[in-house]
Amino acid sequence: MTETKHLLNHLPNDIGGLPADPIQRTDHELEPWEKRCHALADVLDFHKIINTEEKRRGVEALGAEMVGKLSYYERWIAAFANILFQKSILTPSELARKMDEVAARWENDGTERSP
Amino acid sequence: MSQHDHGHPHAEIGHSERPGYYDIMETAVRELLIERRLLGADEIRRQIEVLDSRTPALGAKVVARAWVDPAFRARLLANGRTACEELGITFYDDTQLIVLENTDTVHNLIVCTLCSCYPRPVLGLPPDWYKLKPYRARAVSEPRVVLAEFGTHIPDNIEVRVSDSTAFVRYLVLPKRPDGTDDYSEEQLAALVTRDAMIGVIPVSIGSSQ
Amino acid sequence: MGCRNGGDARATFLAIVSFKGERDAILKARFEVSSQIEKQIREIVTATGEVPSFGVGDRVRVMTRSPVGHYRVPTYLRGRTGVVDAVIEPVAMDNEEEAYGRNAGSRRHYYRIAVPMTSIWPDYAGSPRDDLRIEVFETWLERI
Repeated sequence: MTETKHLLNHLPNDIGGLPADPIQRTDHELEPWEKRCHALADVLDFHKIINTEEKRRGVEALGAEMVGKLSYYERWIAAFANILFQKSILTPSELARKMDEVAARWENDGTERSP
Repeated sequence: MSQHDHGHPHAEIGHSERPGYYDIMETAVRELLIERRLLGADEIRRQIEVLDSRTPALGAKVVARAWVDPAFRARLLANGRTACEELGITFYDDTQLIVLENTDTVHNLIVCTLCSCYPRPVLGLPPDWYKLKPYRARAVSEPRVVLAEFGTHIPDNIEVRVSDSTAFVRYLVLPKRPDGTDDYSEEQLAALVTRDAMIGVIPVSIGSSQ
Repeated sequence: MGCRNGGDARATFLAIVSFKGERDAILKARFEVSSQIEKQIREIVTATGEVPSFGVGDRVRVMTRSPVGHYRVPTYLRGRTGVVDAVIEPVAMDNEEEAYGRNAGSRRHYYRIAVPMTSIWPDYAGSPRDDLRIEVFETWLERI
């Protein structure tokens, strides 16, 4: 069945020239976690643990639904998690346990551990 | 609130709002990578400082210097990155910079249709609209309609030239110096230059300011 | 960038970021293309990709393959013809490969090409002078 091939050979971010709405000149101050996420991306690239192009591919690989529904930095951190799993740097269970630990820490003392 | 002995200061204390799912994920990923010694504990904090220090004011200084110093302007147009480095604006990544000069015959506009490439070392982080579909889809196919949405009208006899970043070159528009600024100091000139003018969606005018 | 040795004059001037006309101006102003240098250049063999395949002013066509996976040539550009506006230096990794974790390997040039808007969009409503500039990796271009 070749009717589906466009799902494979056409990336969700390949949007130059598509019809779209008028521009809304939105902007927002980055939340602290978003800024940390951006800094994380830069540091991962410096170390070539995840280079910038890998990050782009990782976001594309989330697929059209997630690309459409997750915000900009949500896509980045989701992509990082997947890439780190693929590279055997982290496992899904390790990340899940750490996320539970971070959440519980917040419940316990109401402070956010940040750099 | 109990006293903690972390060995590092908190950047923010006492969030009244529960961190969201992705916030927690970011913290978890970062902490795991630091525990594995793949990243240093200090590196993220340092990079946040780097990012906070990059704002459109840097680009405005580059533009103002180019307006007053023809030799600098020539060097800037020949190699954007090294000219910025002359002014102390370091590039912390592997990108190069091509500065696009607006003239009487060409008006430049920059976009990244595939993602959000932007000259971050010299302008800081891009606005949301630059990263969203309407701008990315339409700047490349109907630039004059997009410019009109920003209130900018370019006559038909002037070429609108759209640069779409796809690799490691980044772009900065060098807007035309507005009329009536002959006696402006470099600082006064820089104060007129906005982020949006360096993206190319609006011109610089005497009424504009950062 | 910069001069490697006296006999490498031609390779050296190609290694300078060259915009329209600048390459010729630099050649005229800075280098004497003497028969001695010509003789030395013929004896040098360059590595694959070291010397750009295309130069400023060359007419090129963007190929029409449709890769599965990561790509950085937008669909709207496939099959379009344009003119090389600049040879980007230095040589760099193919970003299609880089996206899968390759941080080193055979490097080639990217080229900033100029394509008229009217040749990309069938119903382009702006000025016929308007054009697009975009960087394309060497392996996506062919000479026409």
